[in-house]
Amino acid sequence: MLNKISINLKLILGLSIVLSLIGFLLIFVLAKSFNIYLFLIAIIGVFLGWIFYEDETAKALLFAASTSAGAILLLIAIFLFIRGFPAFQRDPIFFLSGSTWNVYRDIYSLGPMIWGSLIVTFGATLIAAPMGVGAAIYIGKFAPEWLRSVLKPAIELLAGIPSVVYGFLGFILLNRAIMDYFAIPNMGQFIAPSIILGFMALPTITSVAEDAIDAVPEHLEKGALALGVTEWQAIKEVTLPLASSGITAALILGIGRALGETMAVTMMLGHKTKYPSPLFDIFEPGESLTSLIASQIGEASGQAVDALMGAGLLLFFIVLVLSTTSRIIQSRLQRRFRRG
Amino acid sequence: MRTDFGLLLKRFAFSFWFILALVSVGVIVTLILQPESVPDGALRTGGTILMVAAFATFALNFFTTELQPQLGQYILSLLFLFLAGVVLLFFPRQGLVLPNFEGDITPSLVTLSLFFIVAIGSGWVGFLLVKESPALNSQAAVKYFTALSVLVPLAVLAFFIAYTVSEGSAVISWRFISQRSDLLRGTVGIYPAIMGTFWLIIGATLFAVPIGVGAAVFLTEYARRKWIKQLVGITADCLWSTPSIVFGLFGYIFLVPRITGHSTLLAGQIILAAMLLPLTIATSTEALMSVPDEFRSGSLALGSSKWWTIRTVVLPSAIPSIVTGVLLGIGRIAGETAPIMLIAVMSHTSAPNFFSLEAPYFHIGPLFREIDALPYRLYSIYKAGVGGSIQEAWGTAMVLIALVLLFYGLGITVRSYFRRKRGW
Repeated sequence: MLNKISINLKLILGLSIVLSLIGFLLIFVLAKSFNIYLFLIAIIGVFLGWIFYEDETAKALLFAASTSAGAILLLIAIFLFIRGFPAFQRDPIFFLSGSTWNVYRDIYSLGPMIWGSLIVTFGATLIAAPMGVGAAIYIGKFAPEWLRSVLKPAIELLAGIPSVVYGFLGFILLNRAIMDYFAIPNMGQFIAPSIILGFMALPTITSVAEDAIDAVPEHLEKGALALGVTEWQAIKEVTLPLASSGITAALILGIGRALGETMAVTMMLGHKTKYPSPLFDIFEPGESLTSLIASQIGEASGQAVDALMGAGLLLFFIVLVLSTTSRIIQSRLQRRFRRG
Repeated sequence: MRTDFGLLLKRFAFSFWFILALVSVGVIVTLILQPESVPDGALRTGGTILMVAAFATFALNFFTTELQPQLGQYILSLLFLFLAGVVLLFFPRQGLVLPNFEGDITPSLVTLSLFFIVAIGSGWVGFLLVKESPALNSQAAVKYFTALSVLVPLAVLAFFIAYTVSEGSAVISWRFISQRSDLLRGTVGIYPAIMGTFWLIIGATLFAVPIGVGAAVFLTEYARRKWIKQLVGITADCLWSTPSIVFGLFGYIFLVPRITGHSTLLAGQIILAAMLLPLTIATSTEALMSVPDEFRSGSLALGSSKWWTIRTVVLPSAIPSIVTGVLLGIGRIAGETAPIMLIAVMSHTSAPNFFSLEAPYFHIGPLFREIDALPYRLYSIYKAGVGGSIQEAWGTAMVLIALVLLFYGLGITVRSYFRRKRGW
């Protein structure tokens, strides 16, 4: 009898918390207001629950916490879509492949910026990919244990230096140097951020590739070594082929990082919203998707805001696809070795 | 006998190359020290000779070895080609120099020593690499080049930090970090920016850590189905790799209109928390999974409930790793500019002041006002045109780097301390 009543009480309490919380969130998201009453009901409910049914309340709260990442991602996707989609709706083909971005004539297309992002990312990958994988092989296979424990955090630190500091250093040192070496009259060439971004994307590639190399069971390589091959032959013939999908994942993730990097690019590019001519001229000033948004969103109004939101949506979508692909490849690799 | 002959030829090729490298270094040194004494034409000729030598080395290696082609030697030859190309490309224009900021061009020791190291180093390694068997040859080459690909980024990192410190240390003083910039009084300082970044970090941590750790506890202790774990893993990954400017845009269209309609500290804290969250989830999950199952069964066997076990046994033993992860994460978000640029900052605002000596002692007002932050300070100096306040910019950059290094150092110290201490 008493038991039943307490179960019902639990149910009522739980339901009231959940409903008030959902109501609160809905009102906050849709009506843009902070409903203090629903918020208080939820808080008091949780408090009561904590006193009377600590275990269940804890579990429920933990579950709620675990949905947070997904909820934020979903909110970003929805709101960017709402604000960014109109730019695509008008004339999607022109928006993505036209060649004019002109605030004064109200003509917006992202063609040059997409191309600029591609150039910068490609250049960065040329630097980051071989060096990043090389570093992963060295740290994972050749370095002795003590050196490894020094090198790993040191490489991580490379990713920790704020991107605005990279941008500032690059602007002062690299942009000037390139301008002087090649006797170019203007600053902000594509090549400068490419080089800096290469070093910024490198730690991502190294750490993921090193994980992939580490995940290959040691006995496979030991078996090869027992046959009398050298260390490198064992790595080349056994470890790397098995880790290749993980290394691919690392490269994809690195490309995503380079593509989404904002401040360094914004500070080092010349903000010229036109295609370079010839198309592959990396010594011409330009603009990328991220630097376009960062440099223009502050002053933009009207259709320009829509177009910038469209650019943000495009960026978000591309990086989302890249990182999901990378993650799927990684988990497939892990599953394979856990079974085998 | 035949292999010995091939080895001899290879040795010859490499000595040839090594001598040429020395010569080229000599030319470069002369050029930097006395640019007028070397005519332009000589450089072109020198570059061409280098190029021919590279091809010769390449060809010699290719034709003389009936052994397998060797990766290391190809790469070395290519490196040599690259060197020659650099000489050809750069020198006709002017001496190879790094400009300092004032714009006058002075020969730089850095460039000089870089070339010296590359030329001498690779020549020397060329000798070292020639071993008795091709397998050992390529083993040595790969070891060298992978080590180089660790060294080069670290050298760049060290150079950047050293350069910033050398420029910034002239500016850093107690006044610089304890005052605000004031044109009228002629003071230069970044106190408001330091405090702004401090409160951003505090807020972001307070939001992100409970939620992130909670999510990790649910995933490791409660979630039964695998797909839930995978789903949360994927979403956290996606959130982690979402470009920072997209976070800024999201804050701009979602948070700002829902808080006050203008930039606020609170919006910045929430967005940075959203960026810190995935890292917290990932590191906490890892930390909790590394707690041995015996701990859990031991506690459960004593009759404690699941939640009690988590609270008193699992979480305490995972805390050091969680702290490490959070500290490293804070090091990352402390320098984020793009997300707060649109939603939290305004140049030259005063430091947020939460505490007072009078009646309420504590105000939440500053949460709903703009702040200044270190990374934004640096960016706004850049945007205003670096010329005037370059000193302030270097000082800010140095404080930022020091902050990041501090958090990294703390994180790594905590990790190594507890790793030594714990018994499992």
